[in-house]
Amino acid sequence: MKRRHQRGQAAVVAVGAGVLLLAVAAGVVAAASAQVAGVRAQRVADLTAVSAARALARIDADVARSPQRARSALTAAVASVPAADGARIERLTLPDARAGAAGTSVQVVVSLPAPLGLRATASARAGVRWDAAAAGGGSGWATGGGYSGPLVYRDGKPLCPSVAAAYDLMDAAARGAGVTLVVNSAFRSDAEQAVLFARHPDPRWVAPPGRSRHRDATELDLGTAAAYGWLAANASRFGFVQRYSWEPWHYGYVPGCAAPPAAPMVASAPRRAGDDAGAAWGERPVGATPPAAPGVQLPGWVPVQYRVAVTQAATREGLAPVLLASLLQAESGFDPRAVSPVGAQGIAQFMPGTAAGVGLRDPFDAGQAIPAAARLLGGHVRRFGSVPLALAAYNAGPGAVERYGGIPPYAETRAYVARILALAGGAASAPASGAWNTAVVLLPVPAHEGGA
Amino acid sequence: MRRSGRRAGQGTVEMVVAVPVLCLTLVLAWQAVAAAWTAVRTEEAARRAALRATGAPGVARTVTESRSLAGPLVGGMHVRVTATVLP
Repeated sequence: MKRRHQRGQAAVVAVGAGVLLLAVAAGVVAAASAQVAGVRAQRVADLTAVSAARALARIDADVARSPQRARSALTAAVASVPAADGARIERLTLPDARAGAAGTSVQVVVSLPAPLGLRATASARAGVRWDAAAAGGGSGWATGGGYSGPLVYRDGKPLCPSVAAAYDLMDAAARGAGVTLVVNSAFRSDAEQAVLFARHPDPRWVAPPGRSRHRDATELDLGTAAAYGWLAANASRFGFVQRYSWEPWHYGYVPGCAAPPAAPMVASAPRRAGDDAGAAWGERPVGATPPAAPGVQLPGWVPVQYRVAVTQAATREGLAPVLLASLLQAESGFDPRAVSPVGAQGIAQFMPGTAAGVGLRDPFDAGQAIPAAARLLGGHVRRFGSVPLALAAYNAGPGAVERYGGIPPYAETRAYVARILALAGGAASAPASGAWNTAVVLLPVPAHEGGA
Repeated sequence: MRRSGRRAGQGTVEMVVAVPVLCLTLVLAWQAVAAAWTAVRTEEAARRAALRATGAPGVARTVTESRSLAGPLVGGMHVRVTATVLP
């Protein structure tokens, strides 16, 4: 009896160890399978969101105006992506959608089979973003001085956008009078001023670091000497004053960098050659926020109700959103009811003939006019391979650009192009056609919207 | 004296039986954890590779990630994950 009992104890230990072995193995395998299913679901969700965001950028404009239709179209367009992994789309939403615009991002929740008859779910969000910092061009950011903000360049010198816009107007007027202006110096950081002062330690000619007005990005040292007379007579029309009587080259911009950029001209194409661009100064105040810093999607002066539509229409055409926004600002100041003296209509100032040519039924409907303006400008960019030429074609017509082999010598057209380039900062000087760094990127999903 | 000697012998027998079983349990558990960890890492690598592959829109691509399992019983075995990136 005892021996049998002792044999039974050994068997219990062996069976117990075997059961433990099986239990541990099963537990590990189940946990790992669940984990693998979760990672796989996340991968499928990521790919589905990216595909949907790409499809959103290509979606037909009429469909994009209805978020409901856009959702259906996108779901159908990307259904094959999760299906390739045996998954399915549980929910597809457009977080940025507004009335009349589908927005620029897509969020999806997908699910796929997991162990024990369960389903693993994951969510992802992707959107179209434009990276100005990577697009090159001549923009920058001022630091180390009295002014901190975006910079644009004229003759290789950094200016704040408001000063650049005013200078462009003045430069156009000077050219019309046969005078050439050159920017010899503009914004200087305190460090740069220190170097300059060390070379010429005479406070009458070079201010000590921290005391130069150049640190405010409002000051311009202009040339050439032949322009001094014209500047003395005309600079005040554009908001500039000669700072020191003994420095005929030194002009300061009185409104300052926080002032709105030069007022937009209301009229659009066709422009009249010989217009005095300077007359537009102060005519219509616009938003007070300077243009966007590199990497910022749109400047603050773009009205909230148009931000999504502008971004979506621009990215669909491969344009920088800030470029399209600057065009609309220059055209109408974002006034959808604007009518120019020559009959240009709406937020993008379409002439009736031009509107018909791009299939625009109602130029006063911003929802139609903004995508139409993007199509027209995008077409010009692809045709001429240059943003300045495309802007000139938008303003004076493509025929004039072809006839002159460049920007037509109309003062108003030149001022128009210069103003938009100033508003858009370095964005507008980036190469055309495909060089805009529009990209679909994964975005963080708000915690309360996660599907997993 | 004879009974206590038998008990001591029985304990030895149980130890002789239990130790290899426990060792085998540990090895198998280790292998299962290694396989699971490798599978998760491979899936995550496939996810990163698939996202990188989306940088070329308009082209369908298949990305494959493979990881070797580590351990005495599974040497030479691999976990392979294939992901298709549709245009």
